Amino acid sequence: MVGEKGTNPVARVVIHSVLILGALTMLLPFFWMITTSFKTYADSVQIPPVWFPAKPDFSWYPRIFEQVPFGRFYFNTIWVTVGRTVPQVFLCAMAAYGFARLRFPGRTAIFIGVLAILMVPSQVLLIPQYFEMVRFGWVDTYKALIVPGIFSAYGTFLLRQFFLTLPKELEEAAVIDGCHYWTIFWRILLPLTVPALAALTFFVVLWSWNDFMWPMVVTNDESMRVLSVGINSLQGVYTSQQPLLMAGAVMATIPLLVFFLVLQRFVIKGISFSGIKG
Amino acid sequence: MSLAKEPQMMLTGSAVKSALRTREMLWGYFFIAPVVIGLFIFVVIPIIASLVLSFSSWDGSSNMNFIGLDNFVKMFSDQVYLKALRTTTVYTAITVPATIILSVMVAVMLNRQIRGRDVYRLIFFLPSVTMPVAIAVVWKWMYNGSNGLINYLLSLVGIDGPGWITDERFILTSIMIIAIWGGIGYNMIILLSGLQGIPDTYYEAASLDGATSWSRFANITVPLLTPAIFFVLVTSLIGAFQVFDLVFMLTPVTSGGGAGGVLQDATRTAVFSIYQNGFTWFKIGYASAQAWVLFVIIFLITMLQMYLQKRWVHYE
Amino acid sequence: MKFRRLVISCIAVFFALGAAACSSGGGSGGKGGKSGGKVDIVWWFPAKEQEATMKKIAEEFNKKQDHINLKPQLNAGADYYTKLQTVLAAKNGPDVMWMNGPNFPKFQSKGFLMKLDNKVDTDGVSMTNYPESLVKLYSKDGYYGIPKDYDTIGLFYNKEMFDKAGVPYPSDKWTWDDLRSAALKLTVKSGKTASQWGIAAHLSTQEVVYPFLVQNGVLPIAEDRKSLKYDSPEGIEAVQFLFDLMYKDGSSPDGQYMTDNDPLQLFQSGKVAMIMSGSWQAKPYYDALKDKVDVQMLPSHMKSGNIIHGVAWVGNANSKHPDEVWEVLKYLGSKEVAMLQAETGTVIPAFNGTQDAWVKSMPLNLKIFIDSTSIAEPYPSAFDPEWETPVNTHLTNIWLNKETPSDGLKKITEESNKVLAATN
Repeated sequence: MVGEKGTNPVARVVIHSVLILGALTMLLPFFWMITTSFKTYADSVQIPPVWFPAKPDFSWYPRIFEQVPFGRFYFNTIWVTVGRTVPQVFLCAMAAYGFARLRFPGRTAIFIGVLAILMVPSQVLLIPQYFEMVRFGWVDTYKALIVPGIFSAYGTFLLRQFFLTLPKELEEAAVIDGCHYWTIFWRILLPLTVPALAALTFFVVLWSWNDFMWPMVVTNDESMRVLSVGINSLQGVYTSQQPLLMAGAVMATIPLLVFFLVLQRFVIKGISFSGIKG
Repeated sequence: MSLAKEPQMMLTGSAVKSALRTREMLWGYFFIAPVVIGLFIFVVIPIIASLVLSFSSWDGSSNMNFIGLDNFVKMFSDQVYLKALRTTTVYTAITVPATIILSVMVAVMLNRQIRGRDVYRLIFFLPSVTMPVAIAVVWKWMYNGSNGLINYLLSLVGIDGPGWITDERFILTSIMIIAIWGGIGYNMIILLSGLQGIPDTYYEAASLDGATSWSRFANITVPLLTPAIFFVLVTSLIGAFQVFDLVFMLTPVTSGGGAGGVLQDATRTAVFSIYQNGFTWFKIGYASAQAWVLFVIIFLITMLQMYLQKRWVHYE
Repeated sequence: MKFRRLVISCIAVFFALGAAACSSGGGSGGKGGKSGGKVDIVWWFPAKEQEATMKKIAEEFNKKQDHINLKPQLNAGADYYTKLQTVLAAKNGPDVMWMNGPNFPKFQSKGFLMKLDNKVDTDGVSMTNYPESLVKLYSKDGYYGIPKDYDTIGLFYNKEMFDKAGVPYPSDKWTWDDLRSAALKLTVKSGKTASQWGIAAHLSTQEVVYPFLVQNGVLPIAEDRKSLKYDSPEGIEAVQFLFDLMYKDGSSPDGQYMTDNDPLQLFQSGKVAMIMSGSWQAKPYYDALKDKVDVQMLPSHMKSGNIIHGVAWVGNANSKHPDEVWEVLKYLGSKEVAMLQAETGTVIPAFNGTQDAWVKSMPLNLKIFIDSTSIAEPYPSAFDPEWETPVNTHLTNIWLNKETPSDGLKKITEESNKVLAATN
């Protein structure tokens, strides 16, 4: 990693100005989301927009708990997210290792087939996929929310790219030692891909957490609802109250941010593993 | 004797080798099996179903008529869809390279030991976790033609700014700017994990050789980052060709619920058209056919990238 | 090594949880089945603001009889019809559901909806209990829907802004000319840009364009839903009138401005003095402006006119329990249910004579919405939903000043008629 010693003060000022400018625009919508959740209804519909409500309205948060079983939504969302993420990262790592390192007939063709899955717009798959859930009798169950979300072409492709960057000598030595492929995968390569596994984990968590269309279509009962669907249901048919919606969004986002911070620490610690090579 | 023995030894050698080959092959299938079988059941079967539907005029009702290639023939005279494909191509050609260049820059900056690095990383990722409605509201405020932030800043230097999202000549550009802005965070995560996989020893060796920071960037960082960049390129391209949500969010909709006019003509993308046909108009067969044409385009471009990667992607 | 242990424990926890979830998931049972000897009837609606009322209605119904278990389920707002289409195409979905006018023809024409005729005739339900235009909206070759509620359009105005400008409040005798001159007087301009407008002539077919067409004797769609005639001199005059408010008088913000700035919000922030809006807007306007806001009948020109739209309850044609579905529909169409809805002040119930509670729910002149039903045409709909695309496309262009009203309306007439003629 490039240390501070390599940077001159001018470069540092330039870097920070660019970053701060970018950061401000990225912060703005989030900031708006938070302040809006404390606006009175009248303040929330002003033109030009009110950025700092003069009289903050704290009633939207308690109101959400009155209107929807938020605790149940949290539980469902966490459960679906864990249920998708843990097996997905693991299975994608396995497949990625297979595609990146082992030679078998049809490897390239199958890999291109996996990649091609990403290219079909999900909108046209919604109806056939729903038919499948009906056929399986999975509508309104956790199975429908979790199982189809486990298998990922994206994750396989991502991890394959990272396995390809690892030096081959590592395994060649192991093969000569008579090591099992499973052992090579599990003990030698997997620990080296921790940053990539962490990145994939984060994406899968993010997407499962925010996934909307699929959970909305395959569940009907309120007890099966996840956060994204629950928050969307706060929107009325005729009118919507932005502050209520934003309060819901803030509450749904906070666990995700905490998770991101924790995971980031873990990724940075993971680097020390890569020190062994070279 | 010795002459006879040698081929024998070679034979045993190749037998061992082929046994090893078989073992490797079986393990290979074992490793990929769970994902491949899962994808087959939950994605490939529905994909095949949509392919079948693309040859039908299915509208959701009980009777499904197969009409051969009619949907595809119709598409080639459907000016709206052809225009949508052109718009999508322009969108992809601009947003993908711009996002990748900026993401690489940001990732490299945030891979240094700079002050507040963790905070920056978190903030750059915020757009990905912020509610889309909030993003739309804030950008609409910035783009507002009469009292928006951007035109205010422009007026300070004496420029009379346009209606960024109310003028059909600017609206696509305005949407592309948001796409680039929002895409940096995603790509940054992948590129950062790629950067962290680069061993320090490489840089240390280069430092001993007296390499400048630019040459370290050009000769070590970039080549070792190419597999991650390749991934970002392929997936961003696929994502850009399938752009929908952003367009849906920023193209003005009349309060009657319909949308149209010059603004929608300027921003209608392929998937927008697919959605419109499939869900607004119930023309599921035709929507599937449109999706398959889009698929073929994306597939060909991705194959080209796979072929070209040998020239620039640096694998171990 | 630590890492590996972490992964292993994650997997272990996952499988443990998985086992727990599977065993609990099994208990919830399939749908459309029976629970405790009762038939489950699943009932969908998309309106969060009415959820409490719907739950109360279901509770009442379940108390009244002993063989049906009515299960109300709220299904997310804007994507309700996308989901409905998906589940109905799979011959799945709710037994009883909420339907609106624009979506009715396309769902009906796919054979998704239960025809109610023989039930209505034999079971003593009178369709005369509801406004005729609403019943018409949900009929094709017979009745398909039981009207639930309705909405009409009114002219909302900001009393404070009228007082300040010394302009008398709108009356129920107002003509287009009165509207126009009042709007001009209420507009405050400083140089080229206005800081306050008399009116927001926003691009909403339901709230602005169609009512103005009706007021000039032009139907939004012909009786048989097979043609329209917007390019008549009267049609052009109506749209030209709205266009002139924006681009000639400047008493309304123009199309660009109203694309950048939500006109409903402009009214709620006191930037415009008048706006044509549906009855559903009464509550949010009142919440934002309190006693500053009131509402009046729309102005008239050739005649007075309005647009009525309403939601209906429909049955799933593929329901396993058609008799029970009818029983539920019958209850939902009853006066009792109408009264329950009216008390909450959220919607105008469709059952004739139950609207008083709604009128009294806010201190505004809400009676005009009830009075307007007699002059209202139903919201237009046709069996190929694509017919409305040219309407939206060219109206948007007119509002953005990219096409003249007469050119745009000619194109709408030509293109929409082509779509309408192709359907049966």
